[in-house]
Amino acid sequence: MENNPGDQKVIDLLSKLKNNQSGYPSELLELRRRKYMQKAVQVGFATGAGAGLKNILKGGGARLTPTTSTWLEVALVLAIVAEVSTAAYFYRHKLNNLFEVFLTTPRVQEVTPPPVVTSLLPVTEISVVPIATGTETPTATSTLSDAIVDNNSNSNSNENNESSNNSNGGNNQAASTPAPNGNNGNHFGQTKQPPKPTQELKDIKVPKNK
Amino acid sequence: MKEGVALLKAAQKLDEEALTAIFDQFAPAIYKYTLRLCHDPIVADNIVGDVFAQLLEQFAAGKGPRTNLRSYLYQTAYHLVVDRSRDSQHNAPLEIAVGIYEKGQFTPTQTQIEERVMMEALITAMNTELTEDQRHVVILRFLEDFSLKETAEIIGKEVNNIKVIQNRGIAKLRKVLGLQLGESW
Repeated sequence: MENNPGDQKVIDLLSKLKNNQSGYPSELLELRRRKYMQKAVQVGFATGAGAGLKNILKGGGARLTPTTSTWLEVALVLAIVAEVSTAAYFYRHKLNNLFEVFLTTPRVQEVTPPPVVTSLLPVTEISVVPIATGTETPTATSTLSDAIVDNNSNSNSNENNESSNNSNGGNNQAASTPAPNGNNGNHFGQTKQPPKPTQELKDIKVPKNK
Repeated sequence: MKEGVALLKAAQKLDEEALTAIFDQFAPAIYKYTLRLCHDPIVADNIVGDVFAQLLEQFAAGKGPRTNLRSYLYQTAYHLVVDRSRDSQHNAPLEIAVGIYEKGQFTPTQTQIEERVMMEALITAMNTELTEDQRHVVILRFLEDFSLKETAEIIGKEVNNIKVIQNRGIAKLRKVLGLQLGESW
């Protein structure tokens, strides 16, 4: 590049231009310098404050000897104990009330209802109840209906044949049930237990009318 | 070099004297460089302020240059000028950039008149004919006396690339001046 004389002329011109360049106006330079120094002070203050905080957080600010730190810890614990004792003394009545309320309050037990167990075999309940009623009720009704039938038959016979009534001597008593002979009809413990439900019993259809 | 390194280390610790010394040493040069690029003294002054403000922020963050402070400052100024030139084009009068031929101060001789004509032609060619990269490289290499390596660092290109840009820029200036000034070129 330097071999070309034209290029060298250009470079010489550029060097002249460099030497003749105007400088920084003094007013602008002074103003800019002042602003720069203000900024430097601000940045330095902020950085110094940040570094101080970092030192404090790191614990590198004022290092203490182990003995001093132990004494400080003991003093701190004693101060805390003294403060708690003083507070407890001043508020002893309130504390007493609080303890009484806490101790005398009945404790409520939470009772949970027993869990509802859903039966897997619903047929068993249906089969038990009708059998129990079915054994007693027909006997009672059957005796009554017989008596009524007997009374009706007797009244008819009275109308038709008064002589036969007179032969009874006026003692037209209703037919009663025979003497129980020590059996009052209650068969406690003698009722046959229904057989345990098996798979075959599920198929048995129980009439609902009973 | 040792003084420069010591100054840089002191400035990194935000030493006030070091920061002041850096400003006094480099602010006028950065101003000249910026003025050559943007041709506006107010914009150049603002860019100088931005350059040193960024330097302070970098120092405060524990970053910033470690070795070559001068190159770092020019690099920052270069990026700021490029950013501003993308936003708006500044075309200040050439007299601001030249600043030597103030009217009425002296009576020029014939040689001085010829030189002034050549100088104005050179400045016009630099501003109009060169690409942005060529102009930056020519200014850094021949007006700011940076080496090829330093220029490459500031521009952010390889040294060989800087050589090519420089040669093409000088060749273009020679060609334009030859056309304008006649056979003497």
